[in-house]
Order: sequence, then structure tokens, then C-alpha cells
Amino acid sequence: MPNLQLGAWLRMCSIAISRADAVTRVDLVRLASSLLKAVVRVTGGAGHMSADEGAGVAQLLAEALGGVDCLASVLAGATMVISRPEPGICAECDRNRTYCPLHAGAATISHRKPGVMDVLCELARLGALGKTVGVAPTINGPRLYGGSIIIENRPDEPHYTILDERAPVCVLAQFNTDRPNLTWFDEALVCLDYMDLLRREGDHRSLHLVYNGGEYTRKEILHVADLPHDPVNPWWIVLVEDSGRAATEFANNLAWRASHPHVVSCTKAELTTVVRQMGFAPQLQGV
Amino acid sequence: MAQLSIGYKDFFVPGQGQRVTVASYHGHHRVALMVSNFPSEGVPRSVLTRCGGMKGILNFAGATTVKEEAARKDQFWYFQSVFGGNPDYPFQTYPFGAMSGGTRVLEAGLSDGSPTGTMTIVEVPGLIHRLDPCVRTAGHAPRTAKTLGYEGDRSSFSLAEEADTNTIANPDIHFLWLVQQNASDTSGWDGDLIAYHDLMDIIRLSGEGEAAQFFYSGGGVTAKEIWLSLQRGFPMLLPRGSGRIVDNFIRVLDGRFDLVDANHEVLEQIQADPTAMGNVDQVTVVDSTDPRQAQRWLQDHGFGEIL
Repeated sequence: MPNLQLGAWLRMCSIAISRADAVTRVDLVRLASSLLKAVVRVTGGAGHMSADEGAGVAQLLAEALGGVDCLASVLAGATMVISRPEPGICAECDRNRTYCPLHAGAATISHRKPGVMDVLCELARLGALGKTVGVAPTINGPRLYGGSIIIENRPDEPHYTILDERAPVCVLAQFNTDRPNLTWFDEALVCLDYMDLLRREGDHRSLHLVYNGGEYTRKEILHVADLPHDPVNPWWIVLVEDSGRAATEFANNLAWRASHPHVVSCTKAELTTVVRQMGFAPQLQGV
Repeated sequence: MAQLSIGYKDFFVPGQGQRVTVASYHGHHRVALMVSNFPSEGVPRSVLTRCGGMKGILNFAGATTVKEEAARKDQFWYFQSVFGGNPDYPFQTYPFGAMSGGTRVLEAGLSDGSPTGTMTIVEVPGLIHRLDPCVRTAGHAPRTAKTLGYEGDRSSFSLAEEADTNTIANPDIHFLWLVQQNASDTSGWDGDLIAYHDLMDIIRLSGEGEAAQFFYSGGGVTAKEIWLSLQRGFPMLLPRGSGRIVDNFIRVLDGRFDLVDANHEVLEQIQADPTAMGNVDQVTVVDSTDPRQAQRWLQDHGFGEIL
């Protein structure tokens, strides 16, 4: 059975009665079918990452998970961050400023900002056998705009967030139809529900792979690190220490790490080796 | 006739019905028991997680009591020959999920100390797993009024007790899903049919492989299963000559209502309105004396390949 291609499935679920409803049964079967009994949650920065921090993040994380040889189940956000249109010079003809009649609209700059969740699309693009599911919470209530589903659009932010239709499988979670609003932390909790089931019933090992991140990533790190310790199957966390913000902050907090031995820290350059050595990606040939 | 890989008495060792203990939850026990309410809870996520890695699912339905020793041996020979245990019919199974009622029928009561298993349709998943450990096995059963659990001096989890037989959880399956209406109410032996058809539907929708039915003989409950599978559109295999409801259903398919020798509401319903049968094009009839025919069907549906 070939892996699902980009933009294959979008599922909507309401968690008003039980948050477990966001763990869709069909996707659970897919995740549980990964060839490697391991589930990786990729979390961290997106819109607020600097250009340097975000450069090549999808490729780095996909490579760390094995690239085309990724065999694990992978969970991440299914969103995409877009910077707001700004007046600019037409990139095509380098003449018109606010509107280019020759290249309709090209004189505005509206580019996609990289984020850790791009790893899902990168793995799909590579044709990896790993099973991926993207999770997106409805923050302001989903609205259709310009052919995209808007997840969050705050006027005070220089960017807005849309559903990434390139993710092969996307679970869009809302509270209910009348009150759709959730928070970004709900994405982490839904992923944790998937992981908990896979650990308990599917004998999967788990890893939270943290790259950069802000307020909600910080909350997620603390939440996962303080889950009841399982010495046989720890809730592993890998912090990419030179990725910036939350990941760097926790990686440098030696006192906190000393009390959480299942938290591992490494640099970007070491990440691929560390993830493979921990058994969450196949070992490289000849290594 | 070639010798089978596993002898009948090696599989059903006389005097060894096997003590079967069931353990809820963590997956390090041989038979995990999961009990859930249906339909209120749907198909439990814990059951589905354990179906992970099954590249498709094949359910075996049919007679769960076979009285004659010769018929048991015929059935044992047929299924072992179909699934690669007979050198005359080499076959490589793929890592699919083999599912059935998840029970084992012991001939004598547990109390006499010498229970022996007997060949019925519910033994097929365990037999396939013995032939190829890559095949994962699952069972589904309703909690009936006769379900006893560990009552009295029973060392095996007992699902029912008749005058001369005892039904326990099958020791050769990975997990048993016990379906109940709720904690207070029990159901009949057909109480798990919709539940397990829903499970098959989910696996089919997950894109991990085909979901199909393999029938062999059977009675009233099997007739309902055939009917449900027709409505759901699952590919179905019916070996002609396997007996009882399967043979009668094949006669109905052939338009020979005059030869039907069983009274059952499903057959009567079909006789009254043959167009209500549903996805009859999904039914394949094979000869129960020729395992190759069933192997071709398995190969066409991605459950293995003829060598």
C-alpha cells in the first residue's frame, strides 16, 4: 500500500463530549501500522521564528527522522504561517510598487514562513513510508478566505495561520460547531492522546522533538516532562539546543534537566545521529 | 496425499485444552481482553491500536461447533492447505490480520481435567499464526447470558458452558474483544456482528489493506453475517461443500431455491426479493476440495501469494 500523497484527507472532529473524539479511529490504525514501533511528535516554532532559526528546518527534521527511510509515526501541526501582504517592488519586472498591472498583484510580498510542522510535507514529498498525521485546532473558528481555511488571524500579529492543505492527513479539531474555539495547547493534548494510546496498546516508544518554540511549546515541554515517569518506556524529549527560544532555554537549564533524565539535548548538527541512536529512525548504512 | 506441516494432534494436544488466562490492558500477555459497550462506545480505540500493522483484515465466520471427527479433520486439512501448510499447495501469507469469534470449544468440561480443543472456524486465525507468525490474530465475541468469566474453580476464562462442551477464550489469538450492551445487559451470540463489521470498515478506510470475509459452513448467526457483509460490500469467499448455511446460500445464488434445506429469515428474505441482497458481485464461490481456488482469491485481495 503506497503512502498517502499530499493533501489526501481532511477530517473535522468535535471534542465537546470527549477529547478522545479527536483521535480519529482511521488515523489511529494508520499510525499504529508504522513499520517502526515509534511515534514522534514534532513541536516548536513557526510564525515567530527568525529567518535564521527557520532556515531549512523542515529538511533538518525530516532528515533526523530518517528522510526517505523514515518508518515511524509522526505527529505535528497541520498549519502554515503566512506573512501579511506588504507593498513592495514587483519581483518580476522590478518597476511597479504597490500593484503591477503586468504581473497582477505580484508587487505585494506575502510569503510563507517556515515552521517545524513543514516536516510532514517534507516527509510526504520524499515519499517516506512513515505514517503522518497533522493536527490543527480551530483557534478563531475556521473561515474560508482566498481558498484557504484560516486557523488564526490576529490583527496585532504580522502574520496569519492557515490550514496546510499539503499535509497528507489533517485532523481539524473544534470544541463544537457553535463554539469552535480551542487553543494551540489543544494541538499538543490531542497529539498526546494519540501517543498515549500507541504507547499503551501498540507497544510504541515515543519522542517529543522540540525545535525552537514559544509560549505554547514551553507549556508542552513542561507538561510532557512531568508526565508520570515510565522507566521501561520513558516519554523521551529531545531539545535542539541551538534552535533558539524555548528549546534553547530548557536545554540550558541544567538544574531542570538534571531532574528530568529523559530529556536529551543536542545541537542541530548532532540531531540526526542522536535521533537514530535513540532508535527513532533507522541507522545509517555502514554506521 | 502430502503430510501437513502441523499434525491435528500436535495442534489439539489430547488432554490439553490449555489454561487460558486473559489480561486486560498492557500488551505483554498472550491474550489481552478488552471489554466495551456497543454501540454506545463504538469500536474502542484500544482495539484499533492493536490492529496496527495488520495489512488488511480477514474475518473467518461459520460453524463454531463441529460434531463429527471426520468433518473436523476435513476443515483442518482445508484451512492448513489454503494457508501454506500443505506442500502440495505452497502459499506465502502476507502480514494481514486474521480474526474470528476468538473462542475455543472444548469437548469436555474444564472440571474433569482433560479438556481438548476441537476444530471449528474460530481456530483458523491461530492455525494461520502457527504457520506464519507474521499474521496477527484477533477475536471478537459477545458477552452472552452464558458468559461465566472465572467463576467457581475455573482456571480459564470461560465464555459459555453447554452440557458436553465448554467455550473458553482462544489461547492462540493476540487479543479478544468482548462486546456487551452495557454492564447489566447481555446479548445473544449475534451481539458482536455489527461491532466487528464496523471494525473491518475502519481498517478498510485506513488504507492499510483490504477487509474481507471467509465463510465456512455455519448456521443462523453466520447467515446474519453473510447478510451484513453483503450490505457492507466486503469481498466474501464461500467454499461450496463446506456445509449448512454456506451451501444453502450458494444454492440461492444459483437460483435453486428448491434445493435449500434450511429455514432462515435471511434466506427467506432473499427468496422474496433477490435484489435486496446488496453487493452480490463481491461473493466468490470456490470448491472446498480445491485449496488453490481459495488461494487465488486470497492473492487477488492482497492476503498472500501462490508460490
